[in-house]
Amino acid sequence: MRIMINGIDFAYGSVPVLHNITADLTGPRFVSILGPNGVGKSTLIHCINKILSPTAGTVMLDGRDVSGISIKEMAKLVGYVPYSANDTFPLSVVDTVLMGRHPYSKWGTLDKDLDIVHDTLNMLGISHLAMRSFSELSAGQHQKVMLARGLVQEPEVLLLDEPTSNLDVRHQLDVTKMLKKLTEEKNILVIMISHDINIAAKYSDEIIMLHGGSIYAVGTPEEVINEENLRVVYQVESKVIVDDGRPHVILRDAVPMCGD
Amino acid sequence: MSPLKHRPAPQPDTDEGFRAEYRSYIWRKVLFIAFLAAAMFILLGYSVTVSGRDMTFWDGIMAIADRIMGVTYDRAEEPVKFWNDYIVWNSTMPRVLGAVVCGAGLAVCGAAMQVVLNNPLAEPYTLGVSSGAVFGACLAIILGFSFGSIGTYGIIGNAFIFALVPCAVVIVLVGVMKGISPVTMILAGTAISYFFSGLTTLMMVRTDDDTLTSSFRWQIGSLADIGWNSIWVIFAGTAVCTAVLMMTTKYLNALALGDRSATSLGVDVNKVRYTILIVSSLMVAVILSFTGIIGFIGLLAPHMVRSILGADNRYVIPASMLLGPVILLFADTISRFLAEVDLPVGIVMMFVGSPIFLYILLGRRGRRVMYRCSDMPDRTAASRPATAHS
Repeated sequence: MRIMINGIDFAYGSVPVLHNITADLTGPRFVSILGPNGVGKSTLIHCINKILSPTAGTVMLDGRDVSGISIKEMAKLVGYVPYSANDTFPLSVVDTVLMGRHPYSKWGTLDKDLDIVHDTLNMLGISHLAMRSFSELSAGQHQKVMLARGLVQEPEVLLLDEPTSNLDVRHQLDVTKMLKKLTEEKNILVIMISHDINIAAKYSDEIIMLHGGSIYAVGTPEEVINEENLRVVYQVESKVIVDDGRPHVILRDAVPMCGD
Repeated sequence: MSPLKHRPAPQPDTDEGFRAEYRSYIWRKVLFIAFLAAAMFILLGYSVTVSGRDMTFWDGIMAIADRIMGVTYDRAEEPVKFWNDYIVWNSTMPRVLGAVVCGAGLAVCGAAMQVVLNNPLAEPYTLGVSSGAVFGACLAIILGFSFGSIGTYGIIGNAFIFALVPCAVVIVLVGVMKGISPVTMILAGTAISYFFSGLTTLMMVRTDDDTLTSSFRWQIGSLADIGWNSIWVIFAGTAVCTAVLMMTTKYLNALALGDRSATSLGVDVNKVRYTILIVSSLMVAVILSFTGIIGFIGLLAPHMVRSILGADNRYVIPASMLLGPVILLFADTISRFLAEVDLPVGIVMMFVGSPIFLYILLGRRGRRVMYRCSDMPDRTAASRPATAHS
């Protein structure tokens, strides 16, 4: 699967968020989107899966403009794992994950769907939670359930909005490593928004760094993660060392704001 | 060593074991729905006998069965059976069927509205249907203005037409202004309700006492006036709308995950929301125009069902469709027991509903399943062993 983003702009009403974003991403690859709060990371992935429509520019999936693809077909091509889940009327874990099979399903639940759900729950180590209500789980378990829902969609592109933000360090590593493995095994393009620069640097094939609604830097972790970029984009002083062939950031201090 | 051959039970960690566990989990829900259906029919059989006439449960069942089988009685030779048949089929049956149909419609509508508006407090009247209907009815009762015919049918017609006005305004607003949230829709409904209530109150304060009494009484939900003519209209409207809502249950589940998640699963959120709001409003308008405002059932039945079955709408909607009639039949039977003090079912419903609703809300299951405050320290379920299924 190849995603070509051609000069997209997006604004919420009169507030511009994204400006002239252009990128060419081909799977299998594990891509991380980095950038400070409010820079438009989530907006960018919502423009890719048609939750939002860009005000200018196009997004192409394998040469097809997404504006011409039905949302039903999109659901088979692009999976989405949101940052948070609505649990006003919570389903059980198994039914929540089974919803990921919605684009394929008819009225009943097929054994094949159940097997896919079971395998995915096992892979994420949460099959023991299957019959529990979603609202009974912890924030970290919520994230794993939503991740399972995205995976059972069996998409060619998987978009994840901070999928590890509520996980402890052990599970952050486990989940990101598993995403990296899935990228190769299932031949898919994984695009993950992350605030953890070190985890992104450790596992990503490519990093897109956003700044002021535009792409500031794009490339391999070694090309993008450096002290100068972090100072400009995140306003932090840091030291970047190389660990196991990958950049690793040691944070030093926040860059003083004007007037500090 | 036992000589009996036995198959080993499927282990939950195998695909087969998982399927078996899921199936038994589904079967428990289906069983509960079957239980509700049985309860509804038993209560219906009993309820037709409550008429002031001395009749047993079996007298009622026989009167129903004999009429269905085509058996007739001579008034002179078998007066007891004749009058049982007469009372059941001419007096209580339309009212009992009214309770079944209205209870089903209001409960299903409440369940769907809560999900569509993403709010546990939503009910069939949330978007202002009732205030519109009351305004329409008062327009006919107080000012004598009605669309079409006059008298009772004028009131019914007015109530139906004006019931749809507030929903139409909300739906048009949603269509014109893109990206309106369910909360805004509820608030818009509330604003429109106040407007219609203001107009109604204006009419009521300027009329004489007798007209004031009759227009006030219209508002109190009652099944007493339902006869065979009206039951068919209510049944047709409710059956069609309920059938449509039944077909949307999977989409309701997607909507319950949040709009963005639903869209990413291939669900056209706006289309589903529009369809359900329009169909629900039509159904409530039909019911309301014949019965007045029967409150609480649209809130109570779905929440009771969710506290037992969980929130999967594939089962919540059909179970609500059966529990609604059970509750309304119960309330209406009580109201007929108390016939001498003339207590409309709308009032009984409030007395019956309040304690049950509070029990569910404050009971352990209710707190755990739905109404857990986000910072509540009680995560009892999370600390229980994984095998303890909810």
